[in-house]
Formats: sequence, C-alpha cells, structure tokens
Amino acid sequence: MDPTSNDQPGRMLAARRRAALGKGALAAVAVAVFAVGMLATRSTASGHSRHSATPLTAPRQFANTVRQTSLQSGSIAPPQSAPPQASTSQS
Amino acid sequence: MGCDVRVAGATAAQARRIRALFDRHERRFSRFVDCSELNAVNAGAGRAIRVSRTFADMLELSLWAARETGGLVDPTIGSALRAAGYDRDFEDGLDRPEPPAPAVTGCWHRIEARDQLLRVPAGVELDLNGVVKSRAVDEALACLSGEGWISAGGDVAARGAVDVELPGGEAVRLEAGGLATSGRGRRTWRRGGRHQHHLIDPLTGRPSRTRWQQVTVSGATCLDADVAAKAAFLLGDEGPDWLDERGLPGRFLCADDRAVTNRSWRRSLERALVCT
Repeated sequence: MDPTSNDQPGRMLAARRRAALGKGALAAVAVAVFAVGMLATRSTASGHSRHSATPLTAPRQFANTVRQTSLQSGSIAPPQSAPPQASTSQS
Repeated sequence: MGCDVRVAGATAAQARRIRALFDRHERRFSRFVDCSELNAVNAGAGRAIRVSRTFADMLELSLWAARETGGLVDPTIGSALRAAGYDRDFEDGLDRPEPPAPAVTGCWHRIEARDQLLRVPAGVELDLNGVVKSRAVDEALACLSGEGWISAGGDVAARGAVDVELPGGEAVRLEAGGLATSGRGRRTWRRGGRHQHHLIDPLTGRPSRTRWQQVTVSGATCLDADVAAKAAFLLGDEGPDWLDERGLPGRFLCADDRAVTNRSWRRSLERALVCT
C-alpha cells in the first residue's frame, strides 16, 4: 500500500483546521479594527459627544478669579481732624 | 507724571525707594520722554515686539480696566489725546487756534498680548496713564512698613485712617483702601476755541462733554478708585448709578461747585456714624 494515500484524510483535516484558524483570526482582527476605529471616531469627531451634557456654568476657578478682580469698594467715614492731612483733587 | 507726590509715614530709605519708583514709571510710561518704552511700543505698532515685564504687567492692568468699564477706560486713546492737542507737557503750553483732528479709539480688544510679547494694531497709540499713576500710588504704599499714606495728583492710598480734603471743599476720612479724583478741573487747554481735557470719551474720540467737573471714588485700592472715577466721569448722568451697582461710593462735583453723592457714599458715611 502507498503510505501517502493513508495520510490523505489526516492532511486534509489539518489543512481544514489551519484554514478555520486563519478565518477566525481574520474575523477577530476585523472586529478589533472596527472597534478601535469606532472609538477613535467617537473621541475625535466634532459631531460626537464624548461626555454627557452638563449645564452651562463658568468653572469655579474662573468665577473666583473674576470675583477677585472686580472693582472693590474702599472704606470711608466722616472726617475727624481739621484741617485734613491729605488732599484729592483731579488727576 | 506731572504732579506732586506727597508721602507720610515713610523712613528716609522708604521715601527714596518711592521717589525712584515714580521716576522709573515716568521714564517708562511717559509719552513725553523720547526714549520711553511706551513710545517705543507705539513706534512699533503693527509688529510683534517684546516688552519688559513691568510694561506687560501694566498693560494687563490697562486691559483689565477696559474690560471692567466696558471700554470706557481705554488704553488706546494715545492718538486721541494727541489729536485733541495734548501732544506735549502742560508746562510747554497746549493752546492752539486750529481745531482738534479726528482720532482712532476703542481698539483695546484688538491688542494681542501673550506674556511679554505684544502686538498693537497698526495706527493705534497706547496711553497707559489711565492706570499708571494710581498703580504707582498702590505700589508706593506697599513700600511703607507701617501706617502712612501716599498722595499723587488726586490719587490717595492709605494704610491706617487719614482725613482727605475733597474737591470743592469738605473732607472725608479714608479708613482703608484708596481715594481717587478724576476730572477736568486743572488740566485743560483750548483747541479751535473749545476747551479740551485729558479724559477722552472712546465713543467719540474727543474729550468727554459730561456735566461733571470732578468725580471722587473710594476703592479697595487706589487703582480701583481711579478706574471707577474715570468711568463714572465719562458716563455722565449714569455715573452715580453705575458706581452704586458695584457698591462703590462716589462724589460728583458739578460745574457750579455743587457736590452730588451716590447712595453708596451716603450709606458709608451713615454706617460710620452709627458705629462710632
């Protein structure tokens, strides 16, 4: 008997296994590429929202800075000495 | 800066430092000192140039003042002042028969500044005197180690209480912060037969035609007071309410020497009486 004809079914089975493995790998790579592409699109495309919507309010740090740098009042009272020591005329 | 500086409560060394401070600011920010940094910046309008840290800080304050006052205290009035005839020191005489020329103002939002790099739009001239003197007064006060006060041409800052004489008579006790007066009382000249002064209305590019003669405001700092006084002066009839909206006490002197005070001014004095 020819030994090669006895090995034929075994070789066919091995070839089918390798083909199935290759198809599975290709499918996994395709799914992975699709997922990565979709995530990249979601995170960079301007039309996609990355975060849930929040109310429009100024950040606390900004609001504090604005408050600190606004014009602030001084403290005045009726005079207690005569004549006054200093003078304010036009600048 | 074209005014007398009076100092109380300073040691001899502190007085020297304060004098040097005003001299430095005069050399850097005057339009009438040929080699001033301000003139160099104006000569370089339209190009990006690098300025000193001090100049960048002062410009930032000027832009802050413009934002706080909706553009009334405008650092881009240099050409308007020159067009109105304020093109040399007062001692040299400013009266001229020709009328004032048109001028460009209101360009403060077009200034590009990033750290010490600055670009002023072509054709725009800066004048930072809307903040320089009052800021110098605040800086001078910081030179004092104890109680005292600094007074420079209408701008007063004090640490500890001081009684201050107001325009047109009366007085008030400044307990904390600064007191500044802006107006057209002393610095006036004539162009084309009309009175001119240094407080430019950015809407017209001409000296303001407000009914106030002088406006005095109390602020947390002399800079606050000065910026608010200039804005209130330029706002005319709306000045008292504008100050009230910000809780700033203001006193307005009319042309007939009648004084009008806003609600915050009266409330401050009444509250002080109740407390004593």
